[in-house]
Order: sequence, then C-alpha cells, then structure tokens
Amino acid sequence: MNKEESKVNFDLSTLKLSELVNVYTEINEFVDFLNESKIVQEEDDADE
Amino acid sequence: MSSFLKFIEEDISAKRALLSTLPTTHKRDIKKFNVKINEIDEKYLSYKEAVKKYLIAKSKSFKVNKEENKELDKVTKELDKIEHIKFILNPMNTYLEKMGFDNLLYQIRYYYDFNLDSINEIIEELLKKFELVNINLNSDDFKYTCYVNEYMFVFLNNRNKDDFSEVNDVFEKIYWVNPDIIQHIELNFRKLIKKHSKTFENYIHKLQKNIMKENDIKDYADCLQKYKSVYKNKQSIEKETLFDIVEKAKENKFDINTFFEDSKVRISTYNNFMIEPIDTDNKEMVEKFYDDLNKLKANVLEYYNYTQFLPLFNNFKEEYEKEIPLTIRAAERKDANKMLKNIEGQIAKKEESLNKVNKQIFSHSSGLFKKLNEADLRLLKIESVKISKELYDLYKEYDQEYFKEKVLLVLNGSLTISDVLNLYYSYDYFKKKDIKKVLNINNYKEILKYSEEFDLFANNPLNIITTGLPLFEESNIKRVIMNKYRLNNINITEAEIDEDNLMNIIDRINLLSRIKIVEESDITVEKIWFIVQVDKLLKKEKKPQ
Repeated sequence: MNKEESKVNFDLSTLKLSELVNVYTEINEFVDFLNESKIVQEEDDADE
Repeated sequence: MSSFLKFIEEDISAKRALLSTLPTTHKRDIKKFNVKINEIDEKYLSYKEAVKKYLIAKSKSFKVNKEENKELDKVTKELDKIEHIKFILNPMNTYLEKMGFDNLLYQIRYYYDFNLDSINEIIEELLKKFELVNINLNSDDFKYTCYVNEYMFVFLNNRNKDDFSEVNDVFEKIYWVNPDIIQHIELNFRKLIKKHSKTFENYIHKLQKNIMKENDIKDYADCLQKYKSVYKNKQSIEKETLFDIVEKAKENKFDINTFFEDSKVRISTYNNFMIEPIDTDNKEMVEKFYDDLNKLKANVLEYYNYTQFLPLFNNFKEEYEKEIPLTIRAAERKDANKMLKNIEGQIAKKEESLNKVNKQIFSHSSGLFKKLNEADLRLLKIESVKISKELYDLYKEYDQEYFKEKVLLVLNGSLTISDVLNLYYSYDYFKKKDIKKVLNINNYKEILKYSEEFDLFANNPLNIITTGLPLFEESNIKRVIMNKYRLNNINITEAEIDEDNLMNIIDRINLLSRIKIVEESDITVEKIWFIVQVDKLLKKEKKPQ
C-alpha cells in the first residue's frame, strides 16, 4: 500500500460530527469541480 | 484538526494546484488533462462513497424513533365522535343544518363557482339525504317546472350508470332554452325539503335520543362538558415530540443551529422573554416560566384566529347593530318572525300559481277538452320561468330573514365574539355566504378552507379571550394580553402583539419549548444537528441537477 492509499483508510470515527459533515462537503465540492473542469472534445479530436 | 479532514483539505488544495499547472493548449494535452481528472475523480468518488456510508450509519445510530401514540388515535376518535354528537344536539339550529341541507343548498345556490359534474354530485347528495329517511324521490316529485322534470327524469334514470353523457346532453339542451335550470332544481329541492320537514325533524329527534342514550349524555350542557374534557386530553397527548422536532428541522421549518447553547438567537429569545432574569437552578421557577409561555402561546393563537376573521365580525356588527333596540321588547322580537311568516306566505301563494301553470303544461290542456297548441304552450313555459324567477328572489329574501330571525333570538348589546362564532358555526350556509361576500372569495375550495378554519376556531372549547370579548364595544385585546403576562414576569409589549407579528411570538415560544424537549431527552443538540445535516446532504444529491 503506497502512502496515499494508506491515508484513505483513516479512521473516520476520530472525527467530530461537524468535521464529518465538513469532510463530506469538501469531497463533494471537489468532485463537482472535477466534473466542471473536464474539457469536452469533439469525437474526431478524441480519435486523433 | 483530525487527520483525515486535514489530509483531504491538503490533498484537494494540492490537486487543484496541480491541475492549474497542466497544459491544455493542444489536443494531446487536453487528453492527458482529462485522463488526470478522471483518475482523481475515481479516487474521490471512492472517498465519497466511504464517507457517505459512514455518515448514514452514524446518523442512524442516533436513534430518534417515532413512538406509536395509540392513546392519541383513541382520543382523536373519541373527540370526533363527541364532536358529531355536539353537532347533532346543537340547540341553536334545526334539522335543515343537522341534515346538512344548508351546505348543499349553499353549493347549489352558488352553482356558478362549480362545474356541471359537481352540480350532479350535489343533486346526488340531496337525493341521498331523502333516502336516509326512507323517501325515495322519483321524477313525479320534480315538477317545479317542466325543465326540472325533463332533467331529473333523465338524471334519475342514469343515476347508477357510469356514463353520465346522456344527463349532460339533456342539461346542455335545456340550458340554451332555460339558463335558469339550476335555480329551478334548487327551488324544487327546497319545496321537497319543506314538504317532508316533519319526517326530517322526527329522524333528527330519534337520532338525538339514541346517541344520548348510547353515549350516556344527559343533555347538551353535559355534552359540552365532555367535549371540553376530551379536547383537553387530546391536547395534552398530541404535544410535539423529539421525533417531530427532528422531522421539522429536516424540512427546514426552523434553523437547528439556533438550538445550540451559544446561539445568539437562542440567548436573546430566552432573555427577551423575561422582565427579571430567573434563577435557572430553581426548577419550579423554570417550569412556571415555560408554563406561562405555553399559556401565552394559546392566547396569541386565539387572538391570531380572531384577527383572521375580523372582517367577518365587523360585517356582522355593521349588519345587526341597528337591530339591537328591536330585541329589547319581546313583542318586537316576534315581529321579525312575522316577516319570515309573511315571506313564507308569499312563497306558498306563488308556488300555488306556478303549480296551476305547470298543470296546464304537463297535461297540454287548459281544462276539460281544451287542447293547447304549441304557441300557447310556449307562453305558459315563459310564464312558469317568470314565476320561478320571482320565487327565487323570494327564497333569497327568506334566507336573509331566516338567519336574521336566528340572530335576533340571541342579539343584545353585550353579544360576545364567542356568540357570533357559535351562530356562524351553527348556520353553515350563512357562514359560507358571508365568508364569500366579506373576504371576496369566489373559489369554493378556498371558501371551504376558510370555513373549516373558522369551525376549528369556533369549536375550540379552550378559547378564553373571545368568550368575554364584546362585539359592539371597543376593547384593547393586545393590552389585556400584555398586562396579564407582564404580571407573570413575561416580557411582552403591545407592539409585539401586533397582527403582523403574532406568528413571530409563536415561533419564539416554539424555539424555547423545542430546546427544552431536546435538553430533557437522551440526545444532544449536536447529534440532532448532525442527523439534519446528513439528511440535507443526501436530499441535495437526490435532487436533479
């Protein structure tokens, strides 16, 4: 397991309730950001 | 800061920085950029799922279950039952109201607020009322005019069929010849109700005797007492629970953040309600404070209801204040009754002449051997419509006098709002008629909504303010409420009891009462806040973007 993967397995039970909500909100916002950042390419461009 | 949150914040920040530095000028760069995004996205979606699972499990672990309130169901049924008995025993009205005829006659009188299907349903309901007392009406009973007869003949033949198109066709056909057809149907039913009044009276009388015996009720006063006791009982059982509070917070009915001990809203609401701060360690004092707040809430709600229907009370005042001197002498009270009898006499006379015209129309002859031609028949039909119109106007006058007579029976200079509530509650027809007129509403559903709200208000046996509130004298209710509670250390001002502010007082009292329920439970405000946040987050995800 590399360094990053081990971090995923942090124990969520150590977080306070408000931190749990914060962490989920932050992840959600970042996922939204990622989706919005994707650059749409024409199909023939993608085939290039 | 806990490590996973720290990791996420740092990782997101680093990844945002990384993405901002990746080139996107060429198509190949874009491709690489998107591959990177997908890679991060995949990782974060797995984080999201893991955290989501944990959030749901954690939220569920804070059990706030809905307690089955069997007692409430039982008491609700009991209250419904005794409310019905109260309605049947009400000494103020007659069989007309107790049978529900007044409600149906109201609907048919204001038929233009309905569609044809609704009119047919009203007719069906009227027929059922007769059947309830074993009177099965047939087309011979509907000879008020030839048009009613034609329509009701088809209606009765199609009554139990699914397809009502034949009835609608005949309505359409008659309507273009005689647009007053619905008025004629109403007049016909009114005549039939009058004709069978003794049967209806006997039916109600028997019903009253039976329900009193079955329910061990001595008289109306006894019924009112029982009603009040069950009503009180229901109120004490159906208090807001922890489950209700959590559900309302989820529905955004209030902000759960204001429940926290350090919330400015909470602190100021609490402090602003007290003239002198109370010792929070003194349990008795604290209980008294909440008890007073609950009483204030009941008074404010009653005052709120009063303000909702104030135009109705003002209209009543305007209409009947001038009649007060009439009610002083008993002989003059009787004059009002004379007026009603006089109109009744006029109606009977006119219905007799209409009957004569109808006989000729139905037999196509004006006496022995004299057959009528088409032109004569047409003239007679026009005559029958003319007389019916006059009768319709007479019935309108009759209605007005009918209610006036009932009002004069109780009218005096010290009539209270409670008396007016009782009058309108007892005469549904006039309540709806005045709601329609005073509040200027034409939509029946809305009239019904107001009427039901009015009944709830009128039927509340715990009303205190309206019981002593005189209709014909000025009184400052706001000051009465304010003075009462200021004596009990509750800080309330006249301005706060302003009509537009009433719901604000209720919201403030509700906030403190809810906090008290939460604090007396096994769960913390923080845990409730968490349940609510998780619910909101999940709902947000379910919403289509």
